[in-house]
Amino acid sequence: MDISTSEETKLRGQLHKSFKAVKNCLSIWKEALAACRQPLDQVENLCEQHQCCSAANIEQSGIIKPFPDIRMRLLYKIDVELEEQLSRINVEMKKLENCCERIGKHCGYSMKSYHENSPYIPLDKVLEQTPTCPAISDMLEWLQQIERLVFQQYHCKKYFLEIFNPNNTEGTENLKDMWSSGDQELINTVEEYLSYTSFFLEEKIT
Amino acid sequence: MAKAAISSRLEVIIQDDITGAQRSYLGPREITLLNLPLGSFICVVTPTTDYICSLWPSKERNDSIIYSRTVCRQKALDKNDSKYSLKPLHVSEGKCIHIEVICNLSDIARFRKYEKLNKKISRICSNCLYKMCVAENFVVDLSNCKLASLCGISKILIKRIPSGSSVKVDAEAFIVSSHTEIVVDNIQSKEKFNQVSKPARKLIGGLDELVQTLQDLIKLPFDHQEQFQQLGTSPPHGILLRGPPGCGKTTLVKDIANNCNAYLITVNGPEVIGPHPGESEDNLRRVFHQAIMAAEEGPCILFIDEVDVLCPKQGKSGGLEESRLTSQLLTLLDDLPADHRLIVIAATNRPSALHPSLRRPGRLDREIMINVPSMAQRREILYLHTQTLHLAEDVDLNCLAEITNGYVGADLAALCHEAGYLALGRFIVKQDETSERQIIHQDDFLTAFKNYRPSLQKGVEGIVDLKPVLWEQIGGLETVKQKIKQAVEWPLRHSEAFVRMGLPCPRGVLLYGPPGCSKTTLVRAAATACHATFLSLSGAQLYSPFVGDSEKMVSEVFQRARMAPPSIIFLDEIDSIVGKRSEGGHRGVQERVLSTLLNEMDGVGMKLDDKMDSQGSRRILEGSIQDAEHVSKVTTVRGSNLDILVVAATNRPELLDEALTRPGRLDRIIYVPPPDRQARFDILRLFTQKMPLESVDLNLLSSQTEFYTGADLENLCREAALNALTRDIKSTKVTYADFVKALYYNKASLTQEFVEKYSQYKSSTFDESSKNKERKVS
Repeated sequence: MDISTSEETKLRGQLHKSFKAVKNCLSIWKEALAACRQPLDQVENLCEQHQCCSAANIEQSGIIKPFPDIRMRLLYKIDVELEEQLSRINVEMKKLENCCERIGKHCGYSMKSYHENSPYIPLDKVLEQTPTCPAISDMLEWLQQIERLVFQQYHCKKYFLEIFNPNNTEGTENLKDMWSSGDQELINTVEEYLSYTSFFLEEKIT
Repeated sequence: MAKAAISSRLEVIIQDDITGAQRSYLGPREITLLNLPLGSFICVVTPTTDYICSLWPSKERNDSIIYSRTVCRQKALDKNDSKYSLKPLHVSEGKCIHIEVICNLSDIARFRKYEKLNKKISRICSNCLYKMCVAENFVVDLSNCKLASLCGISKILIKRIPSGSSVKVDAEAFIVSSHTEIVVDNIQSKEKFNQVSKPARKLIGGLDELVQTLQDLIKLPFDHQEQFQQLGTSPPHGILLRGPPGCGKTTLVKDIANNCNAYLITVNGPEVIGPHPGESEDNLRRVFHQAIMAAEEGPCILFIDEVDVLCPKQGKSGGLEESRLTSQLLTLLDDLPADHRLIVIAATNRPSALHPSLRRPGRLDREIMINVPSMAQRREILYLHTQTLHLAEDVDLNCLAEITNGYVGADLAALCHEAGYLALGRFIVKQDETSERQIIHQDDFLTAFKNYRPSLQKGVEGIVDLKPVLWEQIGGLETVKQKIKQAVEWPLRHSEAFVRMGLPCPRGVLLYGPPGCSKTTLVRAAATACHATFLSLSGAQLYSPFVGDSEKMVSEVFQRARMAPPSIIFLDEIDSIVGKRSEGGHRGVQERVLSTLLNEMDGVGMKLDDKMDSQGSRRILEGSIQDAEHVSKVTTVRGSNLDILVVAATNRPELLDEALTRPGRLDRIIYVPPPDRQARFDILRLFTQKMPLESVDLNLLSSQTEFYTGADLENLCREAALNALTRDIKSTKVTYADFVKALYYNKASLTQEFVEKYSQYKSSTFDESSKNKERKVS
């Protein structure tokens, strides 16, 4: 790799850092999603129990006469359990948020670095690509794209949790599907970009 | 996908953005020319829309093409600049941005709940707009944004960015960051937004008064709800528009919706009907529900086109499905919310086929008739349609409006297009020779007029292709011509004069006289002169083997005539069509036809649904009994039977029923006598106009041809010419001898006794009428 100017080196160095951070974030992201899976199953199950419990016509059956407040107690128990599972999810959400912020920051740093150094780097250098190293312009574009996708995905999940209501059958029946929709696409896209930059990331930029 | 050259160097391809990113891809050379770093925001200006997007190098490294993927756009409404260009933007981080959220109609109720929690919705919008570059009056399309579609947000309109809300003073566009404060000013539905953002243009001509009335009906309840409550009255729920197809019912409603800024939901009757049981009702309920939701935002019009399909009269063939749908529609109309923001307008061209309960007060309580346009209306419609056309100076819209009797709005539009096509055809042919500007001349309109048949005349019995005859083409008969002009042409052409003088217009004219004396030709000339719709009924069309068919056809022809006034209904050989009522008990089909004819001409009244109450005519209280006298008292020019003239011709006047020839029906009885000497001379001159005559004295000839009819004279001239050719095929002259020979073989078809018979009839009818008068005086 022929690095002509120090400005370009600086910029490449920043991009290197940023993509490393993206790679790092991706693994955290994946782990967090995997960790969410179990509590989500639980939440789905508990919601079903909650709905059944609310809808059950128990007043007419004689069995529960000795326990007049059983519905309330059961619902309370389910609610407590739901709270617990949701708090577990929220812990993972915090990790996702951190990833989001970190990628955002790195994207910002890279763009800033490019804007600072762009007067000194000719355009053909910015567009230049080699078999091992993608063009700077492409990398900047990918970073922005990754930032955007991660931001959207995180806020979608957050929105799901905000509108979550155990009584809402429509929202809870396919909560898991809705929650994880788009996850795989995001991971595939980021992995694709990372694979383009894999040689670049292995390089040592001084 | 739009494609055009930018500054004659570049091409622009606007793609729908799949990723939701705001990007444009440009060749490296262009980027160097722009001298901007990558990722900078620029404005791509196209003739119709401006786009804000960031700058990136194109993957193809192609210099001449710019691929613009952007979600932030602004429709340029009043832009005369047809050039494409790129404009660098001064961008800064926005501090405070006022927006308007545009969401799906189904989500609007949910968003209204949020309105109290403005913070929540502004946070969602802030997330949707994150890192986007926006400017005032731009619309951000969020259809590809996952978060936005989850929340039901479709678009965000950047309403206002207060000055001083950025770090840089001269910033033109602003980037939304996590620190930007988003203020939601308003929430509206996508449907309403799309409708409002359409440019308003006058759509309909000639119905200004009606448009104003309808606008008041729609706007007043919305603007002055309190006054209505104070008064304790309730505004109309529904309006029924009726009129022949193509007269602008649908366009009228669209125009009103445009003017009132009302949200228009259109239901096409046939679209609602589904194949499964219950599906149609469900569709109908859904549409009404949608309308009620939309009405919460502002005035809303629910327009049901072809309502007769949804709500037909319960006849013998009405199935269960139909009656269910009818009852569903009636229930939905009854259940409409009382806050009067929703108005239902239904349109039909077959009001008589509607279920009567639909037309009771509380459902469709107002009925408005849109008639075939009058001349003034046609002129206005033509003016509207020709506004976009390049017209030559010789185009006379007044003349066009005059000749296009019976044309509805759609026909007039088609006429203008047809004229445009003709001009285009001529232009393409001439293109190589001259470079004159492509314009439409009057001749194009006239040619189009000749080729075009108005839609009301399609598929109707009785409409005939009228071969135009000018008065000058009929020789002699000056007095008769004058009488016919008085009886036929004047009431139709100068009906205002009749009104001014308090003269009742004649209802019918009977021409009688010996055969071959140009009765039919006279009527044709009259029809040509007054541009009236000309309907002709003959025995062959009328009589059918089915009972009631003939009467129905008479009725239909009269209805058609009323639709396109002024019109002439011509009954040739009326004695063979209706005849006289026999005194015996036998009632044949002729009698039934006669009674229908008498009823149509001067009955108690016509069916209210068939009545053509045109705009501008005096309103007659709907449902009031209309007797014949009342109709005759109406002093307006248009409307009812006044513009229909029945012209009958016969050579057996004595065979006609007395009821038909009494005043009020065929009240002008004109005798068309066999031509006198002067008339014969004129006729002969007319027929020999193109013949090379040699020493033929037409005066002498006319004195020799007493009792010859016009037809006989025509035959005589033809025979004479043939005689000349028989003599010598190379002959170039027709001589007197040829005429003499022809006279020998062609005898007069009339005789003294025959003519006297008519004279006797004439004197007897006049005697009778004079006797009647005397009786009255005494």
